[in-house]
Amino acid sequence: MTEPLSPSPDTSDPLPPGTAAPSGAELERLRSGLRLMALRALGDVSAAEEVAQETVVRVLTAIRDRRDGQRVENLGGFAHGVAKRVIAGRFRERSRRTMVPLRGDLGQKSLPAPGPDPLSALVAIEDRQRIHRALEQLPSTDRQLLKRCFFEDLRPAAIAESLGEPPERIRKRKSRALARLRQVFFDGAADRTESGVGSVFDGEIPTGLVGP
Amino acid sequence: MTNVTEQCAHLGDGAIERYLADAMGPDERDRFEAHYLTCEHCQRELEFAAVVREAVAAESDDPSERERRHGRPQRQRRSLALAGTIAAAAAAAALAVFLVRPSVPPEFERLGAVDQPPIYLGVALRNDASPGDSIFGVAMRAYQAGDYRSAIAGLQDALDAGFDAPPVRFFLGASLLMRGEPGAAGDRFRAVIAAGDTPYLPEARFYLAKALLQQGRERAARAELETVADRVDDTGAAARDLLAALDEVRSGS
Repeated sequence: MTEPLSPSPDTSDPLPPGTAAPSGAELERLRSGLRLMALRALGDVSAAEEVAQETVVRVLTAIRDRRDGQRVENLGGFAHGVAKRVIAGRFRERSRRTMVPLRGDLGQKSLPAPGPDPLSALVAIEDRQRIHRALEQLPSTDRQLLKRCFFEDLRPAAIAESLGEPPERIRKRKSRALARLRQVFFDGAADRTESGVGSVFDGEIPTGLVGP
Repeated sequence: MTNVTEQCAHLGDGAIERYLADAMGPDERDRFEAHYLTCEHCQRELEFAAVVREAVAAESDDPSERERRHGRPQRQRRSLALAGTIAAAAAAAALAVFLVRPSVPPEFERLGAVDQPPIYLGVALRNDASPGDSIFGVAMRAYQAGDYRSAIAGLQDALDAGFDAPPVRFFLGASLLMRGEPGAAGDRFRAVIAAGDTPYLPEARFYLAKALLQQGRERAARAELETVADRVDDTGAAARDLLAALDEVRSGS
């Protein structure tokens, strides 16, 4: 499971007491979470995969070098710290690459563009299309509410104030709208898994969505 | 299915949406990330929310483009044919409902409009030192060129690289405001205000007021303006002018 490598100075931070090697399932869950975190930060699926792998290796190396056989206490917290340093290193590399004589577009191709959330690139195309279609079936007022939740006020209480409605009514409307979309999303993923088509992580990466 | 832990339940109202919009404070964001690294339930919820967010963003496109991309079932095509014969104004009204918040009085939107973005004078002139000038510098060149989309991306890079300084938050808020995202802009300005007495504090309050007006939140906007109205500088003068304009709107004159 672990790859032999020399200890990295970045793993010199003290491990939480009682940290030991995670199980296979814990490791896969950790890798998946690291991929999400790195993709969120970097906007690039391949870079996120590399960060996730590098972080896992560093974490396992640190655990191995402790020679302590107790159970995991705070694997998430420790891995998070390591991941942040790995990601920061990527940014430093990227900033060195972008410091070239400015062109008219100010090096836009070197910077990740906002727009569709990069995390959605991890989800299969058909699941995303299913959500798009399900969203179109919602009442326009619910679509507008979700737009405000995700892109504007972000809290139902603030949206309720601006609309002059009770906060609880806004929460219920949001909850119902998301429940309908959630059913489409998770039921679709379950159907594909059962049929052996593949997991929701077999996402095709649309061109233009991810960075260099 | 996945297990929901007590920590998942404690994520709070709209936590995932705020995370995706980078509206969480750094401590909250760190706690959330450290949690979902080992929580399958929250990872799936995060993916789901990201897909919904993308779909909601796509819904803001031109509706005719949306229709061309996704098509419509037969019965809806017949309904649209009927609607299309009634009046083109009906379609325009529907688009206006979707794009314009009907609850925001036009007077407040007008007063909340930002014609000229906050001026970037250069870090040295604002008397603070910001590490990571390479990332920040590239982003601010985009800002000065009016390329707010690139500025947002670059300033977000700076934050993600750990350069969480008030000028980064302030100009990220300014860029978002210029891109027509008052809610997200307001959160950035609040973060600057929460950082305490920095050279960016007075303007952060003023532009937060602008963002609040764009969302129809007059009372909250007034509260922010009143905190800087006593200043004997351009920000104070602008705040007093805006408060006077709001009084005129209220009095109906």
